[in-house]
Amino acid sequence: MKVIHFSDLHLDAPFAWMGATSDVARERRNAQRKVLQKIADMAVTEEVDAIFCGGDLYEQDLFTPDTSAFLVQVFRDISPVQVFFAPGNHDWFGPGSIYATARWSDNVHVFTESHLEAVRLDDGLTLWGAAHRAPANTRGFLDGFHVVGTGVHVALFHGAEAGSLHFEADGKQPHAPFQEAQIRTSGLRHAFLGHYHRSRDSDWLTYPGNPEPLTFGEEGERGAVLATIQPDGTIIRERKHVAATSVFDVDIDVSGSDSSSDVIEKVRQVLETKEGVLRVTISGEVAAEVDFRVRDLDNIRPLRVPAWQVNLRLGYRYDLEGIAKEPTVRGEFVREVRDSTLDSATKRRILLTGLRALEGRSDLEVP
Amino acid sequence: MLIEKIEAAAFGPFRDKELGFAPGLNVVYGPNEAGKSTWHAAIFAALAGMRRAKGQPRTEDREFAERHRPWDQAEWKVSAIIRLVDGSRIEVRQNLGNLVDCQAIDLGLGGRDVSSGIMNDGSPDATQWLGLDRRSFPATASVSQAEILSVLKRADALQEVLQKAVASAPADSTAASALERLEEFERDKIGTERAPTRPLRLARARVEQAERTLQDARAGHADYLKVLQKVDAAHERMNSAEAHVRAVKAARAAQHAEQLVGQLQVVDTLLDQFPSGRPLSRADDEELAREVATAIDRWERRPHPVAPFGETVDDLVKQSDALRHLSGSDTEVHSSVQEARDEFVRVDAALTQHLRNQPEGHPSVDTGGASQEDLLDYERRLLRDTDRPTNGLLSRIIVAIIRWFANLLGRKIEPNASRQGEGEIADLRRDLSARGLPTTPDGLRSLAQASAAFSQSLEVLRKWEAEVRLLREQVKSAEEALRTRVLDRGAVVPPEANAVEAWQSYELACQQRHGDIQRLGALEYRLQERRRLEGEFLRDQTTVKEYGGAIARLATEVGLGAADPLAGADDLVMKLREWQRFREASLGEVSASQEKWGRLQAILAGRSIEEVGQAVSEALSRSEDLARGVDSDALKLAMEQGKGSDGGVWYEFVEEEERSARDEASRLDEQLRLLADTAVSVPAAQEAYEDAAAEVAHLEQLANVIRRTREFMVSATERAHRDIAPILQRFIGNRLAQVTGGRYTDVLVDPETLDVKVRSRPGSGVWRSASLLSHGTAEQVYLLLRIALAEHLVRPPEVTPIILDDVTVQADTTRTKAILEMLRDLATSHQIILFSQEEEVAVWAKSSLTGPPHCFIELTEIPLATAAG
Repeated sequence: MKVIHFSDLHLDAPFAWMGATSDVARERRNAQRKVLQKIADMAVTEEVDAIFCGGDLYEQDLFTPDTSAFLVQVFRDISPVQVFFAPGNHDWFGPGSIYATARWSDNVHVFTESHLEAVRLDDGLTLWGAAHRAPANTRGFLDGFHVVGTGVHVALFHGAEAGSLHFEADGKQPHAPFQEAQIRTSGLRHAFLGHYHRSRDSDWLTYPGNPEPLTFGEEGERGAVLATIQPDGTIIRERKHVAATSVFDVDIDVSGSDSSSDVIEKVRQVLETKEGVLRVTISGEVAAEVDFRVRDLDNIRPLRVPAWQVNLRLGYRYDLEGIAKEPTVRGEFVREVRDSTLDSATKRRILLTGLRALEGRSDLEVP
Repeated sequence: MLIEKIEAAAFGPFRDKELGFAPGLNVVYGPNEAGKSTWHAAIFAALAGMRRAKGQPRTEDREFAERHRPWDQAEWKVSAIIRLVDGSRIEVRQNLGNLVDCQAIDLGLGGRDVSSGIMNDGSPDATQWLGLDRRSFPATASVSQAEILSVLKRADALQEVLQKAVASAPADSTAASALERLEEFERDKIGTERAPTRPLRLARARVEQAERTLQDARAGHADYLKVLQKVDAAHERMNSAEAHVRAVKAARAAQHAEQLVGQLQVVDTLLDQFPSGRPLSRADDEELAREVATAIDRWERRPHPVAPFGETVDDLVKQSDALRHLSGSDTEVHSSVQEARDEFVRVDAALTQHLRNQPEGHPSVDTGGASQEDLLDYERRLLRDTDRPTNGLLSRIIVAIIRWFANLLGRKIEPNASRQGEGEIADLRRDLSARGLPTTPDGLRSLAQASAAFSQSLEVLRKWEAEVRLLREQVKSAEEALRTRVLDRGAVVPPEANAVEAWQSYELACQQRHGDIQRLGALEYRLQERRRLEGEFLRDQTTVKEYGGAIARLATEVGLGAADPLAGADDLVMKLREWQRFREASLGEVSASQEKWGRLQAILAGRSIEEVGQAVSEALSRSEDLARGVDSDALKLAMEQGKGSDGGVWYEFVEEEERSARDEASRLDEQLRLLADTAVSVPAAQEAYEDAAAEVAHLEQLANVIRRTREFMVSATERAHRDIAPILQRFIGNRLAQVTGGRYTDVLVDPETLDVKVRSRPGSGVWRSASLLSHGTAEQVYLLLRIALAEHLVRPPEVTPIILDDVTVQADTTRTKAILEMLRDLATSHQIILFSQEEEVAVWAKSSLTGPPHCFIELTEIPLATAAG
């Protein structure tokens, strides 16, 4: 049997993290929909038998009515491809969930119980699935579970493999925790999962990872998984890149810049070749007189870069050591600030602000 | 640091020029255009170099280059040989043209490059050995003519210079102005809670707004979810109700089909019982029986015609026609005639009355031709003559009456002008007598009175007669009018008849016609009534004939034979009643067959048995169709429910439930759609809130940085001032007596404000601000302060050379000399280079600086072709 497995699309997630304006954030959410559409299209072109969704398809607290209609439409259009949903902690199953209220087409099956339930698939293959019915405190689905019946059994749910907590220290709570070993001991041959945004494959489980970037710094291959379940229960996997958006970290060294124009020009040169959503970090030591602000870059963002987050790590060429030796207010100021117990970032800002004020400058805001 | 030599290989107008300096006071004298400013600039360029950076040069660098770059060659080089406190001799080479070939070489170490220790912005900066740099060195080591001028012109300039110098080595700004700048920035770029138009307050307001929007969005989402659940439940109810309706429909169809099957069986059975078709029935002669009953009833209620008697219609018509000719004439006196008659009666009565009032006449009087006035005049004349008591009251009254009457007649009685003579009286009496007139006054008076009464009666009679004539004319006119009006109304009046007779004739004719008209109305009523009676009589005769005919016809139809339709009608009626009784008795026998037949016909309803069979087949098919997809249990239940109640009512109830469920679902769908249309995107609201909150956090962090910066700045200022105040005080104090000629001996530098004050005697006297001293003293104090500051700001153990530019130019001879001598004294501890264009400075220098450690340098004017500022 051939299936496409995906999870953690998080439709209607907010994108404030990227400093996006409302239009850009909306565009990001539209990109998420494009990803789902790509997955659906792929299901048709790859002639799969079913789509497995391992939860967190959307945000229960944020979703729009339009999203509900969109989901119904997407999955109705690929009928008769079977679609199985295992609601997660972000899209938990409840009376107000899309799962419960949408007019799904007949090819859609939603697992609604907090314990694993069986659906008989073709060729002696049984799919066990369960749902989160609350946004938290869902117990492990595999606790005390064992398959019933013959044939090959696979599972679909949203859960945190406890042994994986170390590999994604993203602060996630252990929703529906389980041990990988429980898959085998429960009689399952494989578990198609959702929850972790970083992908992970093993003989016993598949985490596809979030198919569309949700934040910066997401490394590793992520997307949808085209899986073939062999008659003996072995899984042949092929990862499919379906992301509509590319997210990159870009570090730009503007050392030696003597003016904001220098900085802007250096940033512009680097960005010429970039595209996607960027996290730009501008660093380097520049002249003390440089008055550069993030909004100075507003006019040079390429069209290929729909949104970015700009972080400044600039150093300013003040001879603080020398100034600190001056028998002046300036020297005293530098000495007192440096000797204070403030954190280094605050010290840096205060030093630069004070020195600029003493120079008669008006650009007292230090990035 | 001592500057031994400056070499200008290519600097401004100089080519391979050099200037050597002594360690003490160096007076560099030269007139205008001798290159003093160029050498001044060359010293700074050689020591500090220029920053080497990418991109556009700074404004000050660009202006420096424009002023001092050689005009006629690409090279721009200058160098200096300096000696540091540790004894090392350093050559600092500045290739200002490319800023690459710049280095500092320790001449004592075989030319070791020591540039790395003093690199500043890409090029060597020898002032760093002083703890300064190319920005702070000029502010520390150089004193310009302009600075001296500002101290002399502004009371607070001295303090400001001190504060600037103490604030930072480049002396860009005072700490106080830096603090003001911070406050201004905080006020404008951040603001406080009380400043509604400032960024922080605005940002907080934006957060509050965004938070409200987010809460609304979340509440809206929650409402949406609630309604969504209701919609889901409503649709479930609707689906259930629809299923129920389908089940009931199917059940009803099944029951109907079952019923039709039963009916088909009945039809089949009954058709066998009536092989020849329809049986006899009461319906066969039902119509005849009904007709018979009706005919009998009518016959018994038939009319009985009575012929009318009295005058016939023709009689009455003739009488009526005889009266109709009167139509069109007056039946009462016309108003126009009446009005004319009333007018005639009125004027005739007026004439009659007037004639009755004819006035009585007075007898005529013979006065013998004398007028009344004459008579009265005679009387007066006689009265005067006789002087008799005729002048009494009566006489005067009579005279007055006579005069009044004379006036009435328009005559004038002349008064007697004088007493007449007795002869005249006698003549008068004779004349009177001769004329037959009385000769006494009384007789004359009576005659005059009688004459007046007669004249008055004649006048009254004339007026009465005129009125009679007028009234008679009016009577005649009214009479004519009355006659004319009567004739106008068509009255026939004899020619000899007067108006009254014509009127009487007309009035009588009107009265006659009125009576005729009343008679004609009565005749017409009688005629109408007669016609009605004759019509009724004819109709009744016809009705009786018709009813009798019907009785006869029906008697024939029921088999009683023909009879005389009129004479035998009552007999026939009796026979027909017998026929009715016989028929009622025989009808009971066929009712059973008729009932079956009726049932059969009801089922068939005009159809053939084949058609009934077809209907049964269709009903079964429809029942199967409706039952398809209906849950069998639901169908059974519906059939049970249908049996237990009125099927139609039950079906309506179920349909109503389904309609209600559908309406509810539709209403909730609409509500959901409205919510969806008006919903605010929660993620968008959340993004807006986080964006606003981030801005507030940013501003709060900025506010914190500004606040902490100010705190540090205040603290640093207090400490720096506290440190430097005693140093300055001590430096100046040691030299104050000398520069003020012993006038002031004590100095105080305020550690808070750096205000410098002096007084004449230690421990007593009044403190005076140094800025208020004489110009000569103030400029010397200023120079002392600058040198003290230079000592303080330069990193020990180095000592900076002091470069002065025409600092004596504002001073008179005495002050100039005092300054120069002070500088010479200070030059024991500092190298001082004084640029001057003043002759007296040159004179003083030539005589006073006769050897080491001092030096006098005289510049010559640069040729015009290469001259520079």
